[in-house]
Amino acid sequence: MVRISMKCEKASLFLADYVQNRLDVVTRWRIARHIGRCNSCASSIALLKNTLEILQMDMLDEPPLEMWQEIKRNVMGVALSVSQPQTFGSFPLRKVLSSAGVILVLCLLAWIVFPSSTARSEGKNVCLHWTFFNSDVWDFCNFFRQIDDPKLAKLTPKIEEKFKLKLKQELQLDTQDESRLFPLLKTFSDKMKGYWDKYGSITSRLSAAVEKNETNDLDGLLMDLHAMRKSWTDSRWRLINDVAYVLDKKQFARFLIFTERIPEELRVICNEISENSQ
Amino acid sequence: MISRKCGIGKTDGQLIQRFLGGDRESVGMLVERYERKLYFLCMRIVGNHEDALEMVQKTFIQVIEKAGSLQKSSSFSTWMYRIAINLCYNFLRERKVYAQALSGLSSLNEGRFYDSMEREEERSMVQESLKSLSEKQRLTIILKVYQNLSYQEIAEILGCQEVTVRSHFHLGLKKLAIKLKHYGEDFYEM
Repeated sequence: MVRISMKCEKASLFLADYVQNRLDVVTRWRIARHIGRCNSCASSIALLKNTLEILQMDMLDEPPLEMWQEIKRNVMGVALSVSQPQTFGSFPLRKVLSSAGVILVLCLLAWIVFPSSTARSEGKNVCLHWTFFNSDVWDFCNFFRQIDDPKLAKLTPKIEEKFKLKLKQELQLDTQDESRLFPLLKTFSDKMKGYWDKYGSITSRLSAAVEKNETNDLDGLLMDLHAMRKSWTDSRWRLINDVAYVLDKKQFARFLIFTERIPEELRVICNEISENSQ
Repeated sequence: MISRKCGIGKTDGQLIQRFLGGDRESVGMLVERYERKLYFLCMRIVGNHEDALEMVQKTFIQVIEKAGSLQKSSSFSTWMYRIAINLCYNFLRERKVYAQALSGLSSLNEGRFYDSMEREEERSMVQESLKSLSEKQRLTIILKVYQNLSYQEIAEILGCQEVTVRSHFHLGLKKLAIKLKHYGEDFYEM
């Protein structure tokens, strides 16, 4: 048997569904009947309808398409390391995976430490992407500028190898730690590169606007620049959070200590290898 | 276009079982199936693209790590939503601590993709109004309006009864209506 009368308290729980036409026939009829007799609920209807419409209009922008690939790549990296003990325990596969890890590390370090040919031709130094914790960024860049490029290119594999070993030793990483840590660093580097490119573009436009005295553009550009700087800073914090998540406490502490010393470590490694090669 | 093969024909539970059996590709299918939904959920909670991206990744990582603990009778999607929501709120709490320590290093709503000023104003109006709600009211509205979940599903995610969810939703909407009306008046007076 269907109860006819309904109290406001109960009716109110169905008003939003009533507005959106999501009720079954009987409940809809009961709510309609209640509204016809209750001024308070009747006045709520218009208010709820407006509010729902405003909420539904607040649509978020679609993120860049590459983001979905990035998520999948990173998650699959972790899936691989987690499922390894269950199904990938055989020696050859382990060997393949650890080789892939080594390649990843080498690519990452090559990308972090040395400017790519494109970046070099554009006068940008990708080592900036890594020196995020340090105040002596410019000093570090100058150091790289002082080194002869062809000479560096020859020594790159050795420098990378030493740097990788140093990082592994300092943080006492095992293969699983590496497979979790390095994708994060790679993602971070990608972000930094993106920021750096955008930052360069904004500062160029800002310079042009100042030169041409286009004051109308200045506000927007300054806001963009500010937003970019904040995103940059935030990404550093997010990396720290992520690394804290994948490493244990001691490793994390070592990571923080090591990152503070990266420019100095690289200087030492480069100098050592450079001297040995002469 | 984004690829949407997403393991068609296989349920979430079957994909999880396959993952536990060693088929890591099944995780990729779950990622494709849910990354969008999770991203927009996290975006609504944490308020910016970078953090939302981070939360989505962390959610999937936790799903992978805790897949073995998911009971067969439980719904995968509500379980995953719970993980995502917990991560987001933990993150916001940590962020609050950081923000206090660093005297406002960062703010929400940044990193969005080139909004017009007008749209940004509307958005911040809605965002500010949502902030005035209780955590459960806000979550209920996000899950109902933007994720299109049923009251039953939201109840499972929040760990409460369906009637409580309805109540959160109604009271939340009413509070929002008052808040938005207030903003609206200020806006039109300008």
